[in-house]
Amino acid sequence: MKAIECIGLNKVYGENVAVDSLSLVVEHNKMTGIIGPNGAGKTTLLKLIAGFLKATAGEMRVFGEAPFNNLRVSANAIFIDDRMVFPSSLCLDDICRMAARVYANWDHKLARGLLDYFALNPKLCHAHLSRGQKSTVNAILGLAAHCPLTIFDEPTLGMDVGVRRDFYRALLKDYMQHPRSILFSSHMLLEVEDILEDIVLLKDGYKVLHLPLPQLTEYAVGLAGNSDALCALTENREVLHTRQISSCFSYVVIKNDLKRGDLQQAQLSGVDITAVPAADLCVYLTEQRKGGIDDVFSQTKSVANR
Amino acid sequence: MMYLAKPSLWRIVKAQYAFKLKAHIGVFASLVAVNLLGIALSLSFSSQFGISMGQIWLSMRSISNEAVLWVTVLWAFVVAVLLTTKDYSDLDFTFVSNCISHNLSNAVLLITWSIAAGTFAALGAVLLRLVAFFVFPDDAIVAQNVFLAPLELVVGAAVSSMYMLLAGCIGYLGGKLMQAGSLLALLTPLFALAFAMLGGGGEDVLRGVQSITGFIMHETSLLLFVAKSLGTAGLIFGLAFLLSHDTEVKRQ
Amino acid sequence: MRLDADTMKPIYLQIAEWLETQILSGKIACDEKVFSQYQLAEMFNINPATAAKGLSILADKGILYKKRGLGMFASPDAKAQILDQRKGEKLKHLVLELVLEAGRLGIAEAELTEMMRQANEELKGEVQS
Repeated sequence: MKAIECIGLNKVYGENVAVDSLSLVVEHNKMTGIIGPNGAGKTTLLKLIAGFLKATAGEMRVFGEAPFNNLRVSANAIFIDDRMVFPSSLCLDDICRMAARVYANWDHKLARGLLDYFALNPKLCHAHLSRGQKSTVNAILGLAAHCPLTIFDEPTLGMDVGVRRDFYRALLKDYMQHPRSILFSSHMLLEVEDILEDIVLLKDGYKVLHLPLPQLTEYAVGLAGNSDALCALTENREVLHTRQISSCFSYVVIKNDLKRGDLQQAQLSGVDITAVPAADLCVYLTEQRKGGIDDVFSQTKSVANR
Repeated sequence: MMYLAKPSLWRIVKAQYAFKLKAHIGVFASLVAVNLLGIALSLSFSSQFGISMGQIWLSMRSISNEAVLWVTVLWAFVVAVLLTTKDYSDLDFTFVSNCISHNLSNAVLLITWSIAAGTFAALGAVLLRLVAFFVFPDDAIVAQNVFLAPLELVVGAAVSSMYMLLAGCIGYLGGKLMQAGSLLALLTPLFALAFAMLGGGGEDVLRGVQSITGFIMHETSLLLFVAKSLGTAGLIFGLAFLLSHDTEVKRQ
Repeated sequence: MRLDADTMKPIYLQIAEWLETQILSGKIACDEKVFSQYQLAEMFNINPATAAKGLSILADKGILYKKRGLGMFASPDAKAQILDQRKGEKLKHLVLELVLEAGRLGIAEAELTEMMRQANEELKGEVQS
């Protein structure tokens, strides 16, 4: 079954194209990471999926139905972010009770257990919690709702490292016990990549790639060595990233289409071949900036030398 | 395998109503405060006049509970506008909702608040009489309707509830218009009205407005009055619903 | 640039290697059931699909075999296979290093093979005496 299917999806705010002719199919019961730099359109895409926003053009289906203003999609989806606001008259227990009334699969024991574990008294008021505590409570709501489509939009903002680690583990365990479609947007891919199955990489509102993580780790290779030797190797190849380390030593990331012969040639010319971590690759693929941060310094240096 | 849930609209509306009633419990405190304010206003704006007949100086003080009623009507209007603001309306969409359930639960909420406000306004009238008795202990109470029969109280509460509901629905419509970003849509009818009045048709317009308000306010039969008010309120609310049917949830 | 090559190895390869080591050290015997993808996911805090990929690599190599409905089991010759494979990889790597170094030192191919032959004979002599 397809959890999400969109074809040529567009969302325009005035002059700003937030989502640009995006087509995407997410199979049910997968844990998918939505990754991209700030302003790539992650939140807009997630809100379109949750049915909060109406697409400007294109088609969008969630469990086979158009999600906007759709009670059936809403009853099977939960959207967790750091902008959830609850009036100060409500305690955490009230909020959990409400969720229990509207979500068919609500797991009250899990919610209570997690609140207890994170030392959050159910009688506390949501509005009076610290930022990290709010994020923790919201994340607990997202876990305990057991929604067939669970959307986390940057859920860990403000959480401590320890809490984040516990949350990732809780998410993974709960996902294995209750398989469901989970969308997880984050700018900290390094922390979450291990628990993700697929990655959707966005840039400027369009989809750069949608791959299973193992394939993403083989998508590119890093070459480090003598600049001249690298030039020979990277000729006619797609270079994703270059960094000059010293006057004659460089690091280059290319798309991985190396043959056995190329590998030997590399080894013979003293070039090290390394895997490129998924998190680094995603940065290289979505870079807006020209060259690298080092260039800024080498330019200012040469000006100073003059 | 997780099975997809099939939600029932009524269950969702009921849950949202109960949730919002509790979430906005502070509304009732403000209602009490507004009523007390109304009573204070009534007492301070009591009109007094006197006549002397030879050696007898006759002073009359008339106290009306109209201030209580109008202040509460204003309260109903403001509360309804508040209900349409972002923080209030996003609350439904935190969990399961669509526009229909959101507006329906708001309608039930407005009805609840209106009945509460109407009842408070009616009780306020009783309280006003009591307070007046203690504030002006030397006065002899001569007016009619000093003591309200229970039935009169119920009728009073019902009639004022209708006024509250109408005010609430107008506030809700205005709020939804503003939320829809069309301040223009809100101002257009007002401009049209102003133009019509400037253009010499002032009396016609005034008569039009009077005939609309008169349609409800001058109704003498209680049943007809309730029916007319409910119909008008439903019409206004329906308009608000149609206007907000396509609204996106911003949550920002 | 991070130079620690091990941590840059994809997770599913690390999982496959870890399982191989378990078999080599005898913690998993021949024809014994190995961990399921969910157990591996729990143990290493990774997505079960990634763990499954680690298992399927070993299944493709014939180190594991699948019993329908029961899970994955270590092949009877799993240990021998892993040994062979690791030997092959290690030796190949060392030989390549040797050839590269010889090239840098300007040693001809004939001289290199002669050196290897000599080293081999010396070792044999030591064993005999």
